[in-house]
Parts: sequence; structure tokens; C-alpha cells
Amino acid sequence: MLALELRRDDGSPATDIALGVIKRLLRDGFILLPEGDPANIVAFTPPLTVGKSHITKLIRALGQALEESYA
Amino acid sequence: MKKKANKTIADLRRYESRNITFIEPDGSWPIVWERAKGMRVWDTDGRDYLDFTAAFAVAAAGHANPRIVAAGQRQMAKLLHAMGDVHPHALKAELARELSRLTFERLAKRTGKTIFCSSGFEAVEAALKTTHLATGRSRIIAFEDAYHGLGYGALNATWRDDFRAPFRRQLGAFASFVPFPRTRADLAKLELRLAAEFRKHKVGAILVEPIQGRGGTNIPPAGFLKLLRKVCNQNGALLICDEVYTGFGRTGRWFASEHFGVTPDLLCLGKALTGGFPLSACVGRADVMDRAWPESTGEAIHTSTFLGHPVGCAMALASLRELGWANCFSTNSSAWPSASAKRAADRAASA
Repeated sequence: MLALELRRDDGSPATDIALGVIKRLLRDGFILLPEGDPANIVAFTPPLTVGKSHITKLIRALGQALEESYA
Repeated sequence: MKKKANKTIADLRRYESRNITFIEPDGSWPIVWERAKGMRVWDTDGRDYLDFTAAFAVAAAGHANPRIVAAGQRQMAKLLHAMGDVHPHALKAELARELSRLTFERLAKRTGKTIFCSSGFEAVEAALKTTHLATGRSRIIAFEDAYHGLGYGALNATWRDDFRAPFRRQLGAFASFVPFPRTRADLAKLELRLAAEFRKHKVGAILVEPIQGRGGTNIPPAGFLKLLRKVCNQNGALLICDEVYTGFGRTGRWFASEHFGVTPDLLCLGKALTGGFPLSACVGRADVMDRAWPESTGEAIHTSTFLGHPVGCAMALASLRELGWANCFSTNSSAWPSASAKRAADRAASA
């Protein structure tokens, strides 16, 4: 049970970026959901059988999606 | 091309009520699930995905865990449906006994008693009714950013206004909301606020998610639950932990409240309880449950057609075993997961 809260440089919630990242990751083959109001939090609650290789794949894809979103 | 998915989406647009399935006009959301196994989900067009949601934290032991599926299939062939509060079946009693052992017997050396329900919000509503009957007080305290479900009882304790506002005139409005603390410094302010609420209202319970889920994975400071326990004890109120989301190993312990060294009076459970069947439970300290609920004289005052569904009970018992419960009980350990569960997880991950 982990989460990544996304904000802009001015501290405001980056809801559009969070939702964009989640949609982008769905295209890349990862199912994720937003949390919180206003939905600027990317939540990670995988099956407890999740393996390191799954996490490594997600982190790579997430990093790329975030770099592109904040670019 | 997403031919099969497009047909499903078109049918949903036409035949499912609006405001249920969110559909992006550009086709980017949702995907249409066809099957799932372990961490993986396949859509109707054959694409596979890694699921980092466990489908709302339900598939804790992996999607379509073979031993949970087999238990459900065996039970379906043997007894698909029983008679909730009238003529019971053995698995309902067996699961109630295991939930007692896993919760109040293990944590407080006391018996627990269960009301079975179907959805998580129903478990919360069973806890709210129990509170009212046990304490004679109708008010509760809940937290900002809390999510306890959307039924007409639980919705009173769910924080988000966009969920409550459209139905406000049909709600009982029996909850006061107080801030969910983020730092230790917030605890002193919270204590004052709670004292004010207890002075102002006849409060029967504090309802809390030990770690808020849908509200944003909000982890409170150490001492939070102990403060709530103290305030409840001082005021003769019940402490209800909604662990529908955080229960069954999601936070590294069987229940998130264990991280804080606090045992509630009522525990709301669901989601990973079965790994995929709509069965939930309100488990309470036996003396509290007995104070609330009179012996049945023939008509249960809180029940439903599918209460304690046999397939759900069979899957829940299998799910508890998969999550390591048998091993855990024999060693009387509160740690999660047990060695056998770790080995099972390693096997599943390498499959």
C-alpha cells in the first residue's frame, strides 16, 4: 500500500498529470488508479504476490511517463 | 483495433445506467477485462497488463488464486445457496470462528462475534447499527477524507461532498467530521476537537480507517489510534476500525490497526477477505455485540438474502489459508506474512 502524490512547482495538486500518467501507463500495460480528492495521487495496491520484476517494470515505465508529463 | 471492447462499451452506453462506468470518448479508458491470473490481466482483445490495484485491493492472494477458485467451485457444486439467518450451513459457523480467532482472540484474548454482509459499506452499516444498539447513542465521529462506502448509512460517514451532496436531504447526517492528523503536532488539536464533539453530542463511536485508502493513502502519526482508544474509553464510546481496504496483510500486518498497538471494539472487513466474492463482515467484541443485539425470537432485525453466502464463506476460508492464517495461528504470531505465505508468494511471482 503505497502512493505517489503529484504536485506542481507551486504546490498545487497536479490532477491532470496524475490522470494523464495513469492513462499513459494503461497504454503501456499497467493498471493503476488515482486516489484522493482532487485525484492527484497514484496508488499502488498490487496483489501481495507481486514480484520484484513486476515492480522494476512499473518503476521504469512510471519514470518515463513522469519525465514526459513534467517536461 | 479493439473490436470486442468497442462492442462492450457500446452496450454499456446503451443499457447500463449513466454515471457508473467512466468512458473516455477517445477510447483511452476503460479496458474490458476478460481474464486474470496472479498479477496479470488480459483484455477482450488479448492484450495483457500488470495489475497494480489488485482490483480495489481484493485480489491480495493473486487474481484467480487456484486454491481459492477450487474452494469456490467445490462449494458451488455442493451448496450454491443457503438460508442466511434461517437455516445455516457449516461454513458460516466455521468462518465466524476463524474470524474470531484471527481478530479478538489473537489480539485481545477475547471472543469475537460476526455479522456477515455482502459489500464493505454494509459491514460499516452493521457496525453503525451495533453502535446505536450497544450505546443508545446515534451520533458518530468520522474523519475528513474518510471513505466508508456509499450506502445511505455509510455515506453519512464518507467525507467527500460530491458523494453526499446529491442525496443530502435523504441522509441522517449523524456524523461529525474532524481532521485526519498528518503529524504528531496535529494530535493535540485533535484531542481538543474530539473533547468538544463529545461535549456537544451524544457520540456512540469513532469510526476510522487506520490508514486512509481512497482518501489518498494517508498514514497518521504514531499515537493516533491510541488517542482514539483513550477518548473512546473515557467517554464510553466504541472504536470502529474500517479495515475493508487495509485488512488481510495489505499493510504488512493482518490489520493496519496492529501497527498502532490498538484493538478496536468493532472491525469492518471485506475485499481481500474472499479474494473475489462479495462477502464482508462486521466483527465485534462478543460482549459489545451481545449488548447490542438481542437473541432472535424468529425475525432477525438485520439480515439479507445472501447473508453468509456458502460460496463466499468457502472462498474466505481458502483465502485466509492462502494468506498464511493457519501457520500464523499455530505460532500465535501477529507478523504477516507467515513463512508459508512468503514461499507461496515467491512461487506465484516466479510463475
